[in-house]
Amino acid sequence: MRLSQELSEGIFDTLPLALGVAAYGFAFGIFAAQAGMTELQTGFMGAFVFAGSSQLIAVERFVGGAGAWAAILAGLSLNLRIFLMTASMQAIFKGKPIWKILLGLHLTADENWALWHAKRAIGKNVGYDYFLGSGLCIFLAWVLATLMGVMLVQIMPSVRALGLDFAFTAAFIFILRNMWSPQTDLLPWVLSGSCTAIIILCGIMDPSWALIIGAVIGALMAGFRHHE
Amino acid sequence: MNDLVIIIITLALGTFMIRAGGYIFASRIPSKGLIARMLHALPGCLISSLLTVLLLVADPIEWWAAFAAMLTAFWTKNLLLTMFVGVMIAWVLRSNILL
Repeated sequence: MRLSQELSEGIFDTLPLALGVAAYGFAFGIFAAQAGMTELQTGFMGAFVFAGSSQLIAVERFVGGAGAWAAILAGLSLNLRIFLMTASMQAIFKGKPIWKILLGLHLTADENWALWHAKRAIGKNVGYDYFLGSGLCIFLAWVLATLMGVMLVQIMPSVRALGLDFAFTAAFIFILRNMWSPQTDLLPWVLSGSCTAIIILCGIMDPSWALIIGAVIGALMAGFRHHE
Repeated sequence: MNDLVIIIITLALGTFMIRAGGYIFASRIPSKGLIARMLHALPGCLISSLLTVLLLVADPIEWWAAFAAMLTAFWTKNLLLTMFVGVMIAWVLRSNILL
């Protein structure tokens, strides 16, 4: 059947990407356990938020003593980019039943979105089923790997003592590196960091709010800079 | 309800609204211009700010570990290796093995 073939093609093409997602998910599971999250909470978060870096930033801010709202705002701000992603997918959802649209939207993640656009760019006529297969592959890798991370800490509590707290920082360093390309304008990043540092060092605001204000200032600069 | 549950549920609902919002308002979202550039730049700016916060409260050992992790991330683009190097440097420096 043609439909299922496209679905499985989507799954297979995504497998290499899913490995990276699984590694990241496994690390997130370990953090989540350290933050005191149960398997149920971690699984629920992975399945229903399904946006890795925002889960990481929200849990990190929660552990860092930020209030719930500061943690939520940090996570949602990081996800605002998905707005542009699903907007660019509109064509493949046209004419589909509502449940398929909702499912496809929920399964939109950085990896399968980029893969789908890359396939389109080389002229492959990939449609909804391909995107669905690809999204399901990422989804399963993410949820299962995070659960495995949590369970590892439950079975081997000594993992906690290994100084893995720094892995949080290292993961964010990696995420930033991953966002960087030779075309990236570094000045907004530098401005964000500097403003955040100044706000905190002058004691104007709590760190969780300072980082959001700092990031917005950096993004504003990025927005206005190209007009000059 | 504890804070963690509030965070999980609100983040899930909010993220889904963002995903659905992009689809619903697709024709009205500019793909170029000020707003688009801001949305593109925001994630990097947020992570940069967050790293600033984390490094401000860190001790010198963690600065060295962060430096090593940065070099590893830059050259290898490998998540696991980056975390491994960072954690190992922090652990070795903390445990005074080398002294």
